[in-house]
Amino acid sequence: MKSDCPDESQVSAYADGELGTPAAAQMRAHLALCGHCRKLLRAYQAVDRQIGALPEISVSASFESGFRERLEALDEGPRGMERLKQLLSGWRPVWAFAVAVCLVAGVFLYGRFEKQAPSMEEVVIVENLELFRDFELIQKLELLEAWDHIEAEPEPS
Amino acid sequence: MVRVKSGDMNAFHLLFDKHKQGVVGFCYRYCGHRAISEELAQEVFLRVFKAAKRYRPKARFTTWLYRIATNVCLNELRKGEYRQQIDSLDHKACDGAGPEAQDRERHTPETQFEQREREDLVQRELSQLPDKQRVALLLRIKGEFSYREIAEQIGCTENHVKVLIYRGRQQLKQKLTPLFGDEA
Repeated sequence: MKSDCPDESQVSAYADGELGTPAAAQMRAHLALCGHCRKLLRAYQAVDRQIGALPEISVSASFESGFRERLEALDEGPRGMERLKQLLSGWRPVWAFAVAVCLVAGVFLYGRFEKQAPSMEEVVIVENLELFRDFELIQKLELLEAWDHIEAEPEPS
Repeated sequence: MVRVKSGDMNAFHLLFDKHKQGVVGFCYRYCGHRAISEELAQEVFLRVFKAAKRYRPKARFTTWLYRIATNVCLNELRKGEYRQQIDSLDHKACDGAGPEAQDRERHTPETQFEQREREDLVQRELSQLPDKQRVALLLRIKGEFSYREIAEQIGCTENHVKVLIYRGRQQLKQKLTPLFGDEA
């Protein structure tokens, strides 16, 4: 192979008529001068002829009837074990498992949350504490308002 | 196919009759086994039927059809459920199916035997190619699809198709040229 020979894949593409016009023209010019590339092209064309010459096979008599049976079965859809196999195959079991895990986790976490929820007694105490704080605040405010009077009163002897 | 999309079953059966030979032949050249090739071909047409509603006439129908056939063949290989056999008895079933078969009948028994041996060898070597090289070569030589169409059918770039076909030819050249030369 000479150094100015194109890549052999280009010769293959030329055999298929897949080179663009300028590249095809260059290839034709090169082939006119290069025996090696002409031999390569002939070899590729011979391979194509060998494959092209492979005879067609005849379709068997049962091919069409077998296909019609499968087509009719398609309309009916799978039944019984076939349907079960279909459900168990593919990604459905994975999704089903993920949903089941989420449900179980949800139930578990809900149960824990419910245990941590305050009892009625605790709620009453908290509410009372809030009321007590409010009362304390009001008392302090009243004290503040009355401070001038308290300061003005003489100290007990 | 547009009629099939709208539910015309007669149109589907017309398409089936027109293309079944080609699809069965493609699958047979791919896997080398008659019974499996017919199963694959049936699967191809079932998928055509199921996908009819999604069909959009962007390109030739045969491009779309052989895209499905390519996917079916490549997926079947991945399952590994079939074995590759060269069924030389199939040659009897080829009589009258094509011009090559008719031409063979004119030859003497010796040349018929030689021709059969040659075909078996070519099929055997074709079956030895990596999947995508084999399918690209079959689509190009038997299907006469362009590199652009083959790229769409296989799901790769045109440049990759060029390389696949080149490598497939190169490998077959190495195996077959010493036996057959570059004769016509």
